[in-house]
Amino acid sequence: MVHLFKALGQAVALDVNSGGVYALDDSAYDALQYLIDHPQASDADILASMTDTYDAKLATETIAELREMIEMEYLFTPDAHPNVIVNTQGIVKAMCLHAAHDCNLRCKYCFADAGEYHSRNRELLPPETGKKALDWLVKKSGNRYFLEVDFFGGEPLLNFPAIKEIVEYGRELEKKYHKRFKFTTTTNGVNLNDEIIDFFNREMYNVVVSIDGRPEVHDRMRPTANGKGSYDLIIGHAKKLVRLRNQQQYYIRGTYTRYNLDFANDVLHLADEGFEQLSIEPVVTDPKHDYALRQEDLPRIFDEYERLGREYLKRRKDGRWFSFFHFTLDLTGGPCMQKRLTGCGAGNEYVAVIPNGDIYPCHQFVGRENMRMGSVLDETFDEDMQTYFKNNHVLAKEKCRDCWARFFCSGGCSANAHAFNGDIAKPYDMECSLEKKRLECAMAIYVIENKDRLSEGSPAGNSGT
Amino acid sequence: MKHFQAIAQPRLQDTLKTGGCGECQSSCQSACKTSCTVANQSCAKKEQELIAGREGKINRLSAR
Repeated sequence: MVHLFKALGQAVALDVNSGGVYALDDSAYDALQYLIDHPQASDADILASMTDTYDAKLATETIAELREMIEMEYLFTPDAHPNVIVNTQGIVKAMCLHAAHDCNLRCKYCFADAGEYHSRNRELLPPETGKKALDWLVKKSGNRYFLEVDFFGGEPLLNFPAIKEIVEYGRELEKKYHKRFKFTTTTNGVNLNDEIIDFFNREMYNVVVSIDGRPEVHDRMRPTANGKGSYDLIIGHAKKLVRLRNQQQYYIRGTYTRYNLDFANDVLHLADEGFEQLSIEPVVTDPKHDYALRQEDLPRIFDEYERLGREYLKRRKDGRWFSFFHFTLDLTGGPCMQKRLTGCGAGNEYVAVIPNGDIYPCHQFVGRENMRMGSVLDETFDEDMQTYFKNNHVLAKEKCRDCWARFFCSGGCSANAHAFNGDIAKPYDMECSLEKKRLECAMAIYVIENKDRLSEGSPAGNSGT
Repeated sequence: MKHFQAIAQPRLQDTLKTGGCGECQSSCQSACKTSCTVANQSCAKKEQELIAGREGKINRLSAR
């Protein structure tokens, strides 16, 4: 299977099964498009389709190259994984640890209902429960060395003393069991202070701070509990954190909604403010809300990603480099096929643990009926549900099996599929559309940034990884 | 080739046999928490300069 497209003015062919990415000129694009549309076409047929646009010599030369590409299995590489088995053997190695089911902001789009997760119960994670969660993770992690624990909420910094205690305990477990915890925190940044920043920069592998972009955009959706804007409370804290982290291992993460379909301006605002690691993501919410994205918004959103992509290329070239999460693709050293099949690992290798010790497939599933998997307190764990999630890999999903993007999104978000279609095997359409557009832009950016350099040598690959 | 320029040739099909160590980051933990993009994760084997010991464990810590 080949996905042929143009983005940011660049023609690109993705060979889906090998992951090969090729930059095409106009004649190559037209020849390949004709062959995709007419799989049985002879060389004479392709030539006939090109004669109005190209001289015969150039068209013939292009067709010969196209045939050679196919002969070498650079294009239309056969499917090498018809009977794949996900071999994770019940291991759990990543955890979203809910330090607080409470929050000091009242973000209008919050899936967690201001931290309460629809439970009407505000609570903080007791340190002892957090430690039991780490014990449980170590036990479930088999021979995995790196264990990931993200402190999440609500707002985790409402329970900073517990985080400190749990991290300290984790460092003891590392020595005892020959493991390494990669702790991370996702915070709204309101309570960041010098003590916390210092602790984060010593202990946190990654820190995600939520800022939506321009002050008016941020303040509209992310007010404080008393209804005031929170941008001014946060921006200075985030800048200090990032400066002291030397611009390493953090993300400024925001959400765009129907209220700011010009979200490229929000990305660029954050870049102008000196942040280099950015992620602005589409809101996922009930369509009844007037800030929810709609199908009819997609053309405008696609144009916005293109506009952002063009500015991104320009800035990265002229010394104003920044990274945008969804335009970042590791096309050469990226994940292996096993990882691409299993995706985020929710419910299988990755779970969420909430303040009362209950386990859910991921943070998004918390509070949803029949999705509780067990408890770290009594060490119950629904292995049938784990197997159900494990077997829900991308090739097991009808909608994904023949999709060109299947080895990049890995079947998408199970929680979104469950929320919108009632079934973790049925991906959410809007998410698919946005993912594909972002991937096309990301590949085009990679091609544009690398094609001149690569024209001098051979392409990069990671064969044998 | 003049008309087709190879930009990346990772040969994903080969990694079915050699990959699957499971040490790479869970994609949802990296930045997003709401959307799933796996392919922007890096391979931990390369990133962490894995040296496989007798038990297949990683013996060298990451840079941080």
